[in-house]
Amino acid sequence: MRTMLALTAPAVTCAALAQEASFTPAATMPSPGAWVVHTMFSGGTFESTGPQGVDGYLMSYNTMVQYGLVPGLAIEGSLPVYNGSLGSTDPAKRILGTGLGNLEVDVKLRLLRVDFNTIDTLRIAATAGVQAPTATGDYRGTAVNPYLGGALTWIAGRHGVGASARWMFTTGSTFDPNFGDFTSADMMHAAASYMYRLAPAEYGSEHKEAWYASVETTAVYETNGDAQVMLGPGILMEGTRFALEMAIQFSLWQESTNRGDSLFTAMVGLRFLF
Amino acid sequence: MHPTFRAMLAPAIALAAVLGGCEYCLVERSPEAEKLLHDDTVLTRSPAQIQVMGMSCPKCVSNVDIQLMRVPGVTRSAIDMSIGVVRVEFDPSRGITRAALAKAVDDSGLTVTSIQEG
Repeated sequence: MRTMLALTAPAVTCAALAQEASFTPAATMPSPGAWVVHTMFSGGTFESTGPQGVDGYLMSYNTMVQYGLVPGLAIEGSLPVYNGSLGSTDPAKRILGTGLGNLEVDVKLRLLRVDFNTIDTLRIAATAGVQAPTATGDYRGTAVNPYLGGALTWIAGRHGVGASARWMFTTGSTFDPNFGDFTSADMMHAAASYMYRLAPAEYGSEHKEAWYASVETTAVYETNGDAQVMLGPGILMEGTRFALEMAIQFSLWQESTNRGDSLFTAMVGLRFLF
Repeated sequence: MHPTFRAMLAPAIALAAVLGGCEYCLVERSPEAEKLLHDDTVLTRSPAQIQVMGMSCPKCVSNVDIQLMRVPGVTRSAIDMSIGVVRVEFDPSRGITRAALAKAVDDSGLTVTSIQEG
């Protein structure tokens, strides 16, 4: 088995308000008329797990934008750009070069908001959207894929817990960055995170930046039987109008047939609120 | 599931969400918050001190800044996360009501519990 370095593209559209871990979409959203822009850079390599499996590298630059429509309702979209060299013994499966990925547009609806005290809060939100076949080059697919999802965010003092899940109804062939290959199966993404506010221990009279450490687990399940579970730490520095994040994830378990396995995922990201 | 139905499922739900806005959002507001959201009393003394719940992070509370500064007559807002208070300076001649400030905080996704003048 060859050693590999994997920095795979984040598979789940991440929203962009803090206190939000890198790979776990939060139930938060911008207020009406406010924008959030979230850019993430990631990349990595894949290892072949079957006779026609994919190996090579894939990098991704993903830009996500959220806009608050009315209280409790936001629209969000994301568009990745890929650069990769993914080889296979099957020439039809080879991917090379740079290209756009698929555009995802959805609405996020807040279902529940409970603020317990000055800091503590519980939020639940649902998303519904569609992935459009905007991909170009070797990443080009044929499908318009709707998806439904939900997210939970719970903040208690210095502790934050997040969870999310999303089901994509795949209607044709689409590029799947989780396995570095195309798929026509329905996909479920699930994620859970724990964040701890390192500093400040207590907020002062002026809210400045805050530092968080996080641990996240993400899971992908496809109806063709392929599945993946990742786990890893991250760090988030959050100011009043921007945030900087870094995270890595290591593979805990993967099961894929004739597709690529990734050993770990890493990303850096920037978030802006205006 | 029929392919056409599959393709239309999520967009249809998204459209329904957009058309419906947040009508089905379950927001637990205190009786004080509900009262403030309908309190048309005009504020006559600046600044106002707004007690807010749910200030879980610096970037989250910046939404309060954004919404309060959109209230006509508000000239400055300053947030003290340590005690959950937003201090709002405004032009008293503009007829700003308690409901206007309470709605700005509520729209930002946080919960208002009291507004005090001066």
